[in-house]
Amino acid sequence: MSQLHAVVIDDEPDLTAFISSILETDGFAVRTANDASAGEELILEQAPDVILIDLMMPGRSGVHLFARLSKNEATKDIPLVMVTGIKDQMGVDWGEVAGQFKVRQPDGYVEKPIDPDRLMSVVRGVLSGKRNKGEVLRS
Amino acid sequence: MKFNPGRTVPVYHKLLLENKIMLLITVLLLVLGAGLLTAQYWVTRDVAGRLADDMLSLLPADALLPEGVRSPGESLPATIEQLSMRMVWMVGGLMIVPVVLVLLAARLAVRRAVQPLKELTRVADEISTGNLDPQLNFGVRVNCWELKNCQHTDCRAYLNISEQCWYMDDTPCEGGYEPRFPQKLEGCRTCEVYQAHRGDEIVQLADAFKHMTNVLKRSREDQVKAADLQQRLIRNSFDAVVATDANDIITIFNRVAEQTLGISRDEVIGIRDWRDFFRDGLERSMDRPLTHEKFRRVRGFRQLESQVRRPDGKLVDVILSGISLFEGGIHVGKVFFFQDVREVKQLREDLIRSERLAATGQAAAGISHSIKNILDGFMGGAYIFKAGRGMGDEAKMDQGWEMIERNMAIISNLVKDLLNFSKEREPKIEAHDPAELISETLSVLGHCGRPDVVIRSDVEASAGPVLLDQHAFQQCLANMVRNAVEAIPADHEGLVTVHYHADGDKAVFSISDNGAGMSGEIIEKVRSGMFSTKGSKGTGLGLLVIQKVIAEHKGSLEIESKEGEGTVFRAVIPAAVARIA
Repeated sequence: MSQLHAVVIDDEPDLTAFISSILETDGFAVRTANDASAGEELILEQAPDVILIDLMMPGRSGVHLFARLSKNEATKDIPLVMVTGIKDQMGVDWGEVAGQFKVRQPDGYVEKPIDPDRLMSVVRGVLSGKRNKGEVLRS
Repeated sequence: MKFNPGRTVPVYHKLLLENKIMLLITVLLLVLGAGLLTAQYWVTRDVAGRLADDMLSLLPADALLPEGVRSPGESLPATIEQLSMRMVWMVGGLMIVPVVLVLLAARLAVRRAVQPLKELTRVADEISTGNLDPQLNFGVRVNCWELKNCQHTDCRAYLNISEQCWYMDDTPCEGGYEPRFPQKLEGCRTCEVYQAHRGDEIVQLADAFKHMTNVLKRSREDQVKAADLQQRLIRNSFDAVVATDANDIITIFNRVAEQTLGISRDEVIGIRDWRDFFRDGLERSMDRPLTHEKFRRVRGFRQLESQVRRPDGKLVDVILSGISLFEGGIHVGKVFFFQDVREVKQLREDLIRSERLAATGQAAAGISHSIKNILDGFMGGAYIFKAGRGMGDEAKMDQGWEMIERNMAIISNLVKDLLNFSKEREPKIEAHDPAELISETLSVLGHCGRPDVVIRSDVEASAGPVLLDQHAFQQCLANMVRNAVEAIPADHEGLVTVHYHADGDKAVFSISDNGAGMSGEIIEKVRSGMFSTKGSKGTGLGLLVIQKVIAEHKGSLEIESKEGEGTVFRAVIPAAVARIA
């Protein structure tokens, strides 16, 4: 089985390093970016197997990048995991966001503080769901 | 006329006009009678003397004369004298009856003549005592509608027999008169109706009286209306109004004053002194000219936050204005206007409390996110360290350990900010060298996790020591520097400068960066506190600490920023605190 590729986008370098380390330990090849624009460039440069994006970032947010990727033919089917520390507090209604941007919902969520096992379980679930069903897994 | 207290008023002056005329007539009659009797006496004596002389001359020379008659030709015998006096008495007696009759007739005539004057005197008396509706029935009553064959049946004067038309407003008379009394009188004087009514001087005088009373009545009505309006304005004012006379005794005390001070006007007006209710020391303020430019000639004060004292001793917070009243340069009283601001103050306090709660909530959320991130840093560091150890990868182990150290520093700063912000303490003000202060702060800060950003200090060479709380101010400076470093994008050649200079009597610490800058809207949010431009990574607490420390030093925070170019945070401390002479 060929090595899986992941792109991690988070404005906090420590968190990017942490997530990368978890994925790398599990055999992933990881590329990282600290803002949405740089992350988008990485994804367009070479489509990864999975994308992990921090929801809240200065400048263009994770939601904004997610909406752009979902509209792009080349990237719309890449499984995407939202990393968020404020899911509950924000009360983000992804159904509403998806409707507003006319895009699909994220394939999975990982909440901060990050639990390595939980993160890998979500990433694996997202990838297997895509591989087995030919469609993305709804978290 | 000179006042002479020792002088007695002559009886003549006390007599009524009627009696004066009668006295004059009586005197005239007496003089006339006396004159007549004297003349009659002399004529009788002369005629009788001549007659006696003639009769004696007819007698022989030796004729025996009665005793007392010495000789013919001898003048004025006693008999003639007696005869003349008898005649005087007789004629005088006869004159008494006609004289009395004349006097009686004169009295009747005089009484009739002075009657209108007496009537007018009575009317004048009534007017002077305030009755402006005296009975004045002089001249001929004329019905204008009959005389002019008027068809204006809707006119107020039509069929009105209680008042003459020239006293009524808006009568539709021809001739272009002024519509209202007394202006219309000038036109009315030429009107046939007025001419028909107009009589002798007495009637004209009575008319003048009536015009005068009508003018006075109108004026009094206007005054009553104005006073009534004033009273209603004062009574229904939303502000409490308290006014005094020249002796500081309260003369006006409106409804709101009653409510605010908890005492009825009956217990106050004419009894209480204004100082019973207002705080001491206001008297001096009442003598000063108003500081407001438009009212420099007015003495008093306006919009002062003060307190009024209720009879039960409770103090009520008010916004108070006071004016001293003068008439012709003489102090005639004072007037105070005040508004009970307890409710407003309560609302303001509630608002501040709820804002504080909201800010606390926001801070708590920010802090919890911050802690989550730090926790991620610790967990990540530990995970990477462990993974590195498992693989025998020292570089990875170092990476993990650095992460742990970095997050320890972050949590240490967070705790410091929390302590600084939550602590209510008096700043410990001491003299410090600004260059040393900045240098120490920067050495403790290190590169703030951004070795790519250059941080430098720039202190005015001639800068003297400043008075400040070293610990608090260093925390404030550190937060400003950290914010500046974090505002610089990752791929940018960052430069942060900490500058100090004295601006006149102020000490100015400026922290500038060449980072992303902020929009006007963001600057406003930052000024209001509890706002972070660092998304979920910031708590906004650092900024609150900055503001708190500057406020403790009685200074101000200035922010200048331009998007894409950078930001300058300026802590300005007043010289009274900052500089040592």
